[in-house]
Amino acid sequence: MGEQAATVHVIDDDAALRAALDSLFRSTGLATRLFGSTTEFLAAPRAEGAGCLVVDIRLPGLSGLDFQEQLAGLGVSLPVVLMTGHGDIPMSVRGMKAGAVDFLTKPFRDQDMLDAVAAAIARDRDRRAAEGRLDALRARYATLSPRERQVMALVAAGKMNKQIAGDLSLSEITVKIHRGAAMRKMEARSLAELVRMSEALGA
Amino acid sequence: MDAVLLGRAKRIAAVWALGAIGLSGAAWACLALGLHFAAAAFVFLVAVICLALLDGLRSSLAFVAAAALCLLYFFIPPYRSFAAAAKEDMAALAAFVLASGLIVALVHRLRSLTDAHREQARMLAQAEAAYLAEAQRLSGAGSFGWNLDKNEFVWSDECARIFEAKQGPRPGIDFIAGRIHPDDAGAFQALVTKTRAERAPFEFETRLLLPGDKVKHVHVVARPLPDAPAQFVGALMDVTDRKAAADALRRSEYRYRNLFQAMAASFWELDFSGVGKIVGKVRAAGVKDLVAHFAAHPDLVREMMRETRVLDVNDETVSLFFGGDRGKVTGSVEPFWPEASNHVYAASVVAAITRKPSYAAECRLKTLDGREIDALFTACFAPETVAAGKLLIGVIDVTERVRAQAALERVRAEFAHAARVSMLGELTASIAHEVNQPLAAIAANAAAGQRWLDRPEPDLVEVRAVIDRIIADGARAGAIIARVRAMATQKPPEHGPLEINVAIGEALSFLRHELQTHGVEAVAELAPELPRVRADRTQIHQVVVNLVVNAMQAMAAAPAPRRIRVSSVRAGDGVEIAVEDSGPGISAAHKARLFESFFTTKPGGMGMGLPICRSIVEAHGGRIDVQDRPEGGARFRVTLPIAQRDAHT
Repeated sequence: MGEQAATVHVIDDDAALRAALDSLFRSTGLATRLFGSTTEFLAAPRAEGAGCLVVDIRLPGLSGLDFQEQLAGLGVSLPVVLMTGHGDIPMSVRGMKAGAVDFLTKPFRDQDMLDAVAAAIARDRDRRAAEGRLDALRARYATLSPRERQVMALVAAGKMNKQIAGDLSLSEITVKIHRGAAMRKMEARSLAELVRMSEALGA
Repeated sequence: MDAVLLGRAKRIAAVWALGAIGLSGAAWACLALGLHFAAAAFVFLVAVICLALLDGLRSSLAFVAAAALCLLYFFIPPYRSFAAAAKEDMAALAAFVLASGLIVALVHRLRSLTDAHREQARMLAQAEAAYLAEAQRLSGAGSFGWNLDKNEFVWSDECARIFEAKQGPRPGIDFIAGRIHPDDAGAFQALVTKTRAERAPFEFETRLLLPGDKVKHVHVVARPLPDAPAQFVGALMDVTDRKAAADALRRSEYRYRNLFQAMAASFWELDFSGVGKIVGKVRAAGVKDLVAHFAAHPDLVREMMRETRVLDVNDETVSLFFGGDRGKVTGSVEPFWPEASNHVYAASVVAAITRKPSYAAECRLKTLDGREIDALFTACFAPETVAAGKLLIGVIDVTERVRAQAALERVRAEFAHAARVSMLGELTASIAHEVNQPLAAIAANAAAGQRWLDRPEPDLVEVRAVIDRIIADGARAGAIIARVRAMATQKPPEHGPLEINVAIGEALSFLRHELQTHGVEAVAELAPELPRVRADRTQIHQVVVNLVVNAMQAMAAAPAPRRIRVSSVRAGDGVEIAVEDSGPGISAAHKARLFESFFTTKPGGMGMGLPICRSIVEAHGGRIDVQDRPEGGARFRVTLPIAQRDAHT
């Protein structure tokens, strides 16, 4: 994944504020996509690459908070920065609980907004990187034979070769061969690494 | 026909019998006396002439022939024979026949002439009687004769018709007395007694009471004939209609005199013939647009006022304008017109010239002691009075009404203001949000501008766009604050031409935040290119905000989607604004009281919102009402009149 410009998705029903945010984000080298409502956003094709959402909490139709709570269900995993005309505690709590990166009260300081957006984008990048690593792991795991997967699971559970051989009614030698193959296919450099991979895969 | 013939035959038979007797008698008498031919011929001639008086020419000639034969037989020798006699006797007989024939013919000629003359006279008399009867019927006047000595009373058919009597020409004085109205009977008897005693000409009016309780008024004149003082002739006329008309006229005159004098309005009778001369001169000079000409020449208007002379005024005018002193009622109307009311005077003159039936306007007038009053000025241009150069003016003092109206207007404005301020309080959050929005945009724009400038290569195109947006956002924030200030401050309403769609949009911007908080969506469906309405912007904001807040609150308990539809549409001479909600609607019991003050269905509600809306709308010359939506919910409808300048679009 290259360092392509991250995209900030702005959803606000006020065209003037959309334009201002557009200019602000572009001045710092971010790409922007502007939407007047959540419906507009959902109807648009998804952008490639890392990004985040800047959403006004009060929107016609689906409100910002409801929208945020529904995002996961809609298969959108962009981090969300919330804006509101005047902050109120219950809303902030609800927003943060639902996983908002930040909560800004209008009018906000530009640096606060940019920081929040940067943090959100960083979080998205991390998530994307983690997701990328897991995908690779899964691909490697898919190359394992069923016996190798069994051996790997028991190794990760902390069992000795002899115990594994007993459990699977195999010879200790065969277990060693399967364990070596699994280590090789999973590109694990140490036993500890294999255990972490197994945990990550949830196997 | 047979009867006539029979009568004629009988008559002829009688004449001939008489002729036979007469001639035989003559013959016998002459023979008895022993008269000779000449004397007998004379006797026969007399008899024939006498007979000729009785009947037609033919019978008479027959008698002549018979007489000649008698003479020949009895008196010409040879006697008792028709045999021819001496020549001289025959000549005498022929002379007798010729003479008696001529005389008989003459007698008949005379008789027929007399008959024709008599017939003519009879027809003439008949025609005259018919003409007289017809003339009497037409004029409603009958004639009568009254002989005091014989106490005989004779009247014409028309008299009988007036009395509705079936009696012939001699009704009898008692019948007449019976038809006199009981209330007038005494006077009638007195007149009869007096006339009998003095035999003087009389003239009187009395009422008749006819069958069916019908009352008639009759006018009677009579006088004695010059050569027969006991014989009165007279005329009797039915004057019921004339009397009714005269009474009506008198009552009407009395009523109008009463109206003129006693009404609590000031009336003036004016002589404006001098004004007509001035206008005539102006027109002769080629002026077409009198209104503009008068407006441009106030001196001319004042001159016309000076030429408008006061003829008469009523009591109210004296007390209102002349300080109660009727002695001061004189001169022109000029002192009563302040300069500021010149245009009203000029307009009334133009109305009179253009033959309008009347003119009315409200204006200020001055009293003699210098007080100014608000007056309703009306002028009536009845063609009869205008032709005589006269004019009737009515003035009603409406000072108190104007003052009360102004006071009411002030109270209403104060009330509306109080309601606006309280509404602003409720909408603080929404307004703050609305102001915040452009402020946030300005801050973000400014920050962006800085960053564009701080770049290694400053992007001036972006900076310019940023500044443009800052200016626009600043203006927007300013406009919102101006609107809030207009709501908060009290100023007299300005009824200027207003783009209603713009005003609706502004009102909704007050409420955007509020609507979102309540989860209500407001949909504006505004007809494009509407004519402008004559309205005060702030007050229209107030009405729309009020109606939308009401709709929002009505839907508080309704299930989503909660939607308010705000629409505008052209409706006849006005523009109709509707605010519709999908709430529970308004019960019939509430609907009737909805616009009453202090009526509310909301806990903590004041019940002033809709009454104030109504008072605002009505002060704009508009209407407000509420209907049920067929699909549920309420629909408030406000109609405002189109501004005069846009009325034609």
